[in-house]
Amino acid sequence: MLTKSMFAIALATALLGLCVPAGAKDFLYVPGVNYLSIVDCDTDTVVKTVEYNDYVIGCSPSFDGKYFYINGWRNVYVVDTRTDTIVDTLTFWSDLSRVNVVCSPAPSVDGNSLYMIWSVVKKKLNVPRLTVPPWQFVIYDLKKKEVTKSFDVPWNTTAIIPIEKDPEHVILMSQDILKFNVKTGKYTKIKGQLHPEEGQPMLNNLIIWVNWAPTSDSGIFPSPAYGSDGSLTYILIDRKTGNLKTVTGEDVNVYYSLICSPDGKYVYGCMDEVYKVDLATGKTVAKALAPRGTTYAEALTSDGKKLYTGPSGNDIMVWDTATLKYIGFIPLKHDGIVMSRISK
Amino acid sequence: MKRNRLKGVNRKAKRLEEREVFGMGLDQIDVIWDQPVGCTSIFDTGWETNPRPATPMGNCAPSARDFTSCAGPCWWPAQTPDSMTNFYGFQNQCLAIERDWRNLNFAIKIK
Repeated sequence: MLTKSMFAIALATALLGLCVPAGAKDFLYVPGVNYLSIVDCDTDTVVKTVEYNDYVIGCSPSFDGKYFYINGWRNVYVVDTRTDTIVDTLTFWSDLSRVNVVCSPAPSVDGNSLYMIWSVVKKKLNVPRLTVPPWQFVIYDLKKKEVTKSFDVPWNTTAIIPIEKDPEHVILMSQDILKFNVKTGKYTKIKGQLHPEEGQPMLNNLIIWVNWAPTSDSGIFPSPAYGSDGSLTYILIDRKTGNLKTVTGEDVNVYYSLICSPDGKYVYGCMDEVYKVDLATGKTVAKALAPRGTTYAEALTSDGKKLYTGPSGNDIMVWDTATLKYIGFIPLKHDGIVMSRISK
Repeated sequence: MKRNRLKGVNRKAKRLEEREVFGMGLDQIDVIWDQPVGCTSIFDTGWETNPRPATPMGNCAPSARDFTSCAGPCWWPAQTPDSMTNFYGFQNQCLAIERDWRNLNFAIKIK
């Protein structure tokens, strides 16, 4: 009996170790206009800035947290989080092949590839006409440093969610929500938005922010979808299995993006206010006006006690998750629209 | 009677079948459909307009915080520089719009 208990304790300790590396500290990686700001979550101060020359629209950490990918419309920058330096710049734009990286890049689960959505306009030399193919799902091999595959995807595919237990598939957040095979390019609709299931309302969804962290994450991608009947649906995608669940909101709060608490019980939303919603009931349990104004992205500390909303303007607001009490703000030297938390 | 679409049989004819953008004329439906016209799933920009009963009323507040993020493929391209193509690099004029907005009297086109 004692042996069994000891085994259980050892197993629990090992699992916890997988969740939070021993002695790891939380940092916010906030890439914005021309600078990446790195914030120490213990002191809530910027401890380092990394310079580049770009307007950043997306970001994502790798699954092991060792790399942080940030992208402007034309380039992807690879940041080594151990040294906090840019170790590679991937440029896809040329005058004749105008490639825009539409949304945040998504690293594959094995870390070998980077998935991206591209909007491409091809120009013919000395001919005043352009060719506009459909948007592309692109697989970029990070070791070979080349695009190895690309597939047509529907317009307005703006987020990629890799599935941890099924690396052959990703979830694409598009006009509808799709399960996409990265080997064949085939996809199936798992939830209609522009083309809803019979009897269901059309759903409007601004899917730009995939707020997640490599460790101590809920494992759920939450997304707010607004129905043509005036409803709010929380779309919850299990990042491990790709399974989709929905919760109807009791109140129609207005969000840019959402993040789930590490235990998956609550969802926090931000725009001009911050909200805390119980996912068991869809009820708003706390809300507060954001004193610094609109914010786009969210992050939580590993212990789930502090919520960060921002940037948008040149700051990030800090909140106590238990009460949604405003703690203060972290000034930045730049605007931005995305951020991630990495523990190291 | 269903009308079958003509298909090109040689290279020149097939080239004509490509969807091509000759300009931004409204009569060219492909231009409208093929351009990235919005971020949301049903192209309803401005969906977040929030009729609050109290401050802040209306849209996001303060709106300056939204300025640079609206410089992409959608939202209000007439009011903000198009940072994808026409004014790529305009952000060098102002790192933070609320603080540096005076530097943006005119967006400078950078080649």
